[in-house]
Amino acid sequence: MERLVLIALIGSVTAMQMRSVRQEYAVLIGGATAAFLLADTLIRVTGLSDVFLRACGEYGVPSALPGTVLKILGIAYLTEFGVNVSKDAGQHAVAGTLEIGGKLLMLSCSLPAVVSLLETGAALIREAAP
Amino acid sequence: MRNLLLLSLALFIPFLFLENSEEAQDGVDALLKTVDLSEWDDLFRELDVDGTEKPSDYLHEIAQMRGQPFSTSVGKLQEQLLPSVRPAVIRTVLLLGIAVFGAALNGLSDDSAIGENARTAFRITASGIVLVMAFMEIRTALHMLTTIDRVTEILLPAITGFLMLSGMTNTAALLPASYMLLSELVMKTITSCIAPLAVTGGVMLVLDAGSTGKLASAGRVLHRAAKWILATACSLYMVITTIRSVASASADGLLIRTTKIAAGSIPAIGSLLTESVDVAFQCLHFVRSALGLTGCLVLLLAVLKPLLSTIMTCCSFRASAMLAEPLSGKQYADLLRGMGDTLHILMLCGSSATAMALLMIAPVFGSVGGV
Repeated sequence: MERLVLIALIGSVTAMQMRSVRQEYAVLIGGATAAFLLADTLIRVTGLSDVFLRACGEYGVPSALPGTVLKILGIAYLTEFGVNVSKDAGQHAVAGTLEIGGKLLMLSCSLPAVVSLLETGAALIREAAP
Repeated sequence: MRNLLLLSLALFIPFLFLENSEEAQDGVDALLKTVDLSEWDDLFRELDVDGTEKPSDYLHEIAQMRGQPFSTSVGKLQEQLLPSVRPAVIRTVLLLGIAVFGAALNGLSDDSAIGENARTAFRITASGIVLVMAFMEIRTALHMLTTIDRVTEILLPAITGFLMLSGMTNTAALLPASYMLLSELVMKTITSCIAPLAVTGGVMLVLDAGSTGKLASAGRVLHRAAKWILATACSLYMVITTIRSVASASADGLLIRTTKIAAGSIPAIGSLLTESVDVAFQCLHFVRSALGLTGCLVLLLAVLKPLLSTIMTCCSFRASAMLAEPLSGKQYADLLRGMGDTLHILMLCGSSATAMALLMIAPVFGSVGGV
């Protein structure tokens, strides 16, 4: 955690210093710092997601459903990161497009879950009804 | 075959409850060796009762527990309980894991629409996982209800036949009537009305996660209706069966007393006859109690494991709801609570049906008019 805070501080201070000299470098340094922080955090979380997926498998939950939860989480964080970097660079149109892309991707990811939810619900009611 | 099996067990069971003496222990050991308990296992296999242990194993264990300290019995009970606890703990951890991932989405900024969309997509996917996880447990609970009905159906002819043989005609006449009431009024209401209402309500509560809440309100109404119908059916059954039991027990008691008085009024050999009648009735009462006890044991053995599993699942969903609320918010917790409520109603159905079946068997080993 200390390493993350240190990198974030160094990146922010450098980008701030660069802003007065070369604006485009400041954007690049900010983006690189954010990308590094995100990648470092994701590497640490991978172990947790593996445990979660294994536990779901042991319990008999089809791996597609917990996998979808992780995908949604990943898409949401990556899109948010991309949108923030684009906004920092003053590219609001790109940020808007990325946001729409993220939403569509999340929709396409959760559609099988919706189908599975409705199917399981219908199967349960069929099972209970005489 | 079943009647013979039950009667052989009726002779076997009293030994288990006699005082701890060497003779009784020898009797138990001899019976365990001679009575063919594989037929008992076949009966349970036919009923498709869940569980890896065979009923004959249980009976051996019960026999060995006689005269043992109380801690041994508690240890045996723990052995039965622990296999149901492990899946419940895994389930709770899994549901909390999902809540942690949901909490991770709360870190997204509220300015962009991404956060809101991700949270909705998460809730839908989490609903799917919860429903899949609850599916097998709900099936077990529904299967338990049909098992209770089938066990009582099998026990009925054996018990009624024996009561007729022992001259308890009024109590014997009561049993089929009680069974019809249990099967036609209570079990039919449970399987064709209460269970579908509870499951549909649960599905509605789960489907509503992340939407307006109207479907959830309808689901809650269905749950409330299921509870009211169950309470009404149970109360009706209890009242009718209790009145009938008291009436038939009094009639049988009167019949026995009249027989004794009639035998006593015969000149010269009257007192001898009265004593003989007394002994005969005491013996019949003893075997009748054993038969009733066997019936209760069969029912409890058939229902114990699925009922325990349903109780543990219900507890794990409710505990997860309580622990997940501060992590991932109210909607995910409501979803878990809804599924917990569904299982709670199914558990109530199972336990009330078992209690009512026991109430049906109870008059068999109740004392009759102070005989």
